[in-house]
Formats: sequence, C-alpha cells, structure tokens
Amino acid sequence: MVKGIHKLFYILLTLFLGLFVAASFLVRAKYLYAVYGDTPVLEKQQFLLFIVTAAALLLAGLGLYALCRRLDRFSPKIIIPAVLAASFAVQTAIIFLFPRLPTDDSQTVLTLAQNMLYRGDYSSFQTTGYLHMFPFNFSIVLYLKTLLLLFPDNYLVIKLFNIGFTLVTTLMVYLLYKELNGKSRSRDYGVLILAALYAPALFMNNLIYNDVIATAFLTSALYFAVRFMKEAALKYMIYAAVLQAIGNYFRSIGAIFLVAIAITILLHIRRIGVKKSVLALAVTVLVFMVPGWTQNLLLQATGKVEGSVSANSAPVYMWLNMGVNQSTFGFWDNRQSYNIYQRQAGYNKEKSTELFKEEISRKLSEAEAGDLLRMYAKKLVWTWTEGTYQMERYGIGNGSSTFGRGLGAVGDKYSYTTFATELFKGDSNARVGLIWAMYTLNILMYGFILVRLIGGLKSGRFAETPLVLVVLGFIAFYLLWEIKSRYLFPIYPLLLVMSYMGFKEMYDAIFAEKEE
Amino acid sequence: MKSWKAAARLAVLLICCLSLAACEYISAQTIPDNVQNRSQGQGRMERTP
Repeated sequence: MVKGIHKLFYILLTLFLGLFVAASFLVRAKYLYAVYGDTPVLEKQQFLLFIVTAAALLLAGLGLYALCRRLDRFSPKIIIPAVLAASFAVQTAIIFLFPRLPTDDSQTVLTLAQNMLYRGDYSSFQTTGYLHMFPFNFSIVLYLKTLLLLFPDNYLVIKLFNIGFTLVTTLMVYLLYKELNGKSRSRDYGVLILAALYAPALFMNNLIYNDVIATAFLTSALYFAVRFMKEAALKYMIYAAVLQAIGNYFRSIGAIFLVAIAITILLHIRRIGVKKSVLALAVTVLVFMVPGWTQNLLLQATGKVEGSVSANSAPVYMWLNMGVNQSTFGFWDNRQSYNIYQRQAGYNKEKSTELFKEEISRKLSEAEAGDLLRMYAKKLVWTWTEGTYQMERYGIGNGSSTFGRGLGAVGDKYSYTTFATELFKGDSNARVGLIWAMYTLNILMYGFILVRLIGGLKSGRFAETPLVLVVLGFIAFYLLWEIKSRYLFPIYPLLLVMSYMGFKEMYDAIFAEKEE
Repeated sequence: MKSWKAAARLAVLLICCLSLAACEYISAQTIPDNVQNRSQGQGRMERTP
C-alpha cells in the first residue's frame, strides 16, 4: 500500500517532466526583459540550436564530472570550504560587475524599511498602503530594517548577506544529496560544484528580496526532515520545524514544504513509530504558526497596527484570478486584479473576495474547454521550461530600460556601468547565450530527473519522495496561482539534487562503473 | 616555509590593493534615503510580490 503511494507520486512527476521535455522540442519558453519587457514569451523552438546547445552542455558535463571524480582523493574538509570560497569569490564579483538597483516590490520593501527605521513611519499598514495589501512582506521589511540598523546603508551589504544564504543552500544541496544517496562510495563533489556554480543562484543575489533567504531556510528544513525520517531522532525534526517556519515567514510557499514533509512522515510512520510521528507533526505545525502569531502580537502590542494585519489584505482569490487569464496565461495582468481590490472593493478583503470569485467563475464559464486547456498547457509549460528563474531581469539586470507607462512603468538601472554590463547589454550575444545555456540545462536536468525517477520505479527505491512531493506541490500550486518562473526558485536545490542523481546513474550505466 | 610567508604577504597586499580599488565601487552602491517615495503613498504596488 505504502509503496503504491510512493509509486503514484513518482509516476505523476514522471508524467509532468515528460510533458515538459516533450513540449521543449516544439516550443521555446522565454523571458527576456531587455527585448520584450515584463512578459512571458512562448515561440517555436529553434530545434537545431536547442540540440547543439544540449549536446555541448552534455559533453561539458561529462568532462566536468570526470574532473570532479579526480577530487575524490581529497578530504571533504578541504574540498567543501575550497568550493564554497570559490563560489563566494564568483558571487562577489557578480555583485560588483552587475550592480543592479532594486525595482518594483524590491525597491518598495527597502523604502519601507528606511521609513520605519529613520522616521518611525508605519503608515504602510494603513488602508492604501503596501503592507495593508501585502502584510506578509513585513518579514522582508523587518529583515532589511535590521540590516540597515546594524550595517552601513549599502546595497552590497544586503547582497553579501544574500551570498551567505546562497552558500548555505549550496552546502545543503551537497548534504541532502549525501543523505539521500548514503550508499554511494564516491565523495560526489560534482553535485557541490554544480550547486556552487549554478548561474541562476549566483545571479539571484542581486535581487534584494526574500527568494534567496527562503530557499536557504526551506532547503535546510528539508535536509533535517530527511535526517529525521532516516534516524528517527526528534531533534532533527525540531531543527526542521524551526527552519521551515522561518522560511515560510519569508515566503509563504513554505506551506508546500510542510505538506510534503507531513505526508512523508505519515508514509514512514511504521519505521519512525506512531508516537514520534504524531509528536513530530504536532511540533512542525505548531512552530509553523509561531512567526505569524508573534508578528501580529508585537505589532498590536506596540501600537503599530490596530487589529490583525491581514484583516483587509489582498485575498488569495486575487492571485487565483490573475492565474486564470487567457491572454497572459496567468502572468502579471497589468493591474487588472489590483484594480478590483483597490478601486472596486476599496481595499476590502471580504468585498474583493466576492468580486474575484465572480470574475473567476465568469472567466471559466465564458471560456470554451479547449481554450482553457490551451491556457493551462501554456501556463504549465512556460513556468516550468523557462529555466532561468527570470535571472535575466532579477540577476543580470538592465541599464536604463523602461517598459510601460505611468503607474505601470518599470525602470531597471545599474548603480554604475562596467565592461560586464556593456557585454551583457540588451539582446547581446552574451545575455542571449547565457539564457539559452540555462534554458537548455534546465531541460537536460529534467531529463536526468526522469532517468532517476524511472530507475526508482523499476527498482522500487523511493528515497527522494519528499523532494518529489515538494516539486509536485509546486506544479499543482502554480497551475492555479499567478505565475512567474522566478517563483520556482525555492526548488532549484531539489532539482539539482535529483538531476545529479539521474546524471550519475546514467553515467554509471553507460560507462559500466558500478559504484553502489 | 619562506615561500608560504611570501605568498601570504603577497595575498594581503593584493587584498589591500583590491579593497582600495573597490572603495569607489562600494561607495557608488550606497542606498539613498528614498524620502521622495513617501509622496507616492505608502509604498508602490507595481508588480505582484
């Protein structure tokens, strides 16, 4: 019975990944702000270029893998710090070479942190304020406020902290891999190096926001949860619960991790024991709520707000409404949904919820089944095959490019220009080439994950179930929610772990070097 | 031993030079106090978080 459930999850993910890989032979999902502005693009695949890039990356991967195996004779005490130091150097170089200035929400949360710190201005919680609408973003405002209080007011400080979080994620990728693949006799430095040099992660430090932080906490939480499931020591589950609660405080998709961990604990209830499992679940759920409760209590006790901060926040139906849109297939709807909440409902949660429900049912009833199917297919394929987490805009950045007009205008800038910003300007070969490479790498990674999943199904080995469940959770969630490929960033570590497993499995099968 | 010491000295010197050269770039990334944004309300809402 339990094995059957594991199997079902593996089959589901295999089907979805199969769809993404197959779709990539027909359509190319693209996000290139410098050329198209803030819009998702789906166009006909450049088949030959796609195959050539994939072949080049595969060859490079094989070469790098062979090189990484040579490092096996060195102790992890040398290799891990050395790789993390090299990654730190590359990331530091990036934040100096691409001094991207914050835009839209990123700039807003920074300004709010300054207003709160220097002027004691908490008016953003009042009606029409940013935090009135998005109270969950108080976490990042509080974090930035703390950094501004303790360190010089410099973008580099915040970005250096981002680098710290990325390095934690890199280490966690390695530890998680080793935990799931404990029988491997090789030291598997390749997965550490892959995580340390994965371009979207390196560039994303340029985004002053919550993605990088949440990713570090949630990946660490998953690592400790996996340890708990293997060793049944409650202390690991307490670490996992705390890390998960913090990760969720920064980005609310922590709930998907919570559900995935809870299901996996239930699947391992025999091995862990009923008492321990129930206790672990209770602790996890309880700790999960703590940051939100504490925040509400403190804000009210200090007189910053009256009543709950989320009493009249934007309802979840706003994002669901954005998620059902045939012309944008769930991407940003150019303030249509904002207008419903702000103008038609006057920033009222209950009123806007009703309006959004009506709007969603209108869209669903007016559309033909075929159109809806097409929209969801586009939505799914674009989100999951864009492959760069929109690092082109949020990581590389753009110099003085403005799209849109009036309130909707979004301008990207650098603090200063460098040879690198010039090299990656507009639709330059460097920018387009890097995006192509990352796009293709993502599809290759899906291919390797498929190898691993099918291998698992054949041999009845289901160690990666918690990771599979998190990915399935993200697929289900972003099928309904507003989309951005950046929103998938918190699961890049899991994709790296699973794809490296598949790559190794394929390598061992082809070159007949059985290690396990 | 001597070569290690020489290498360490060289590394320190290099770091000092790089830091000096970076000073200009560090100060260029100072965060301005965006008081003017307050006039736009209590935070802009351009994109979804």
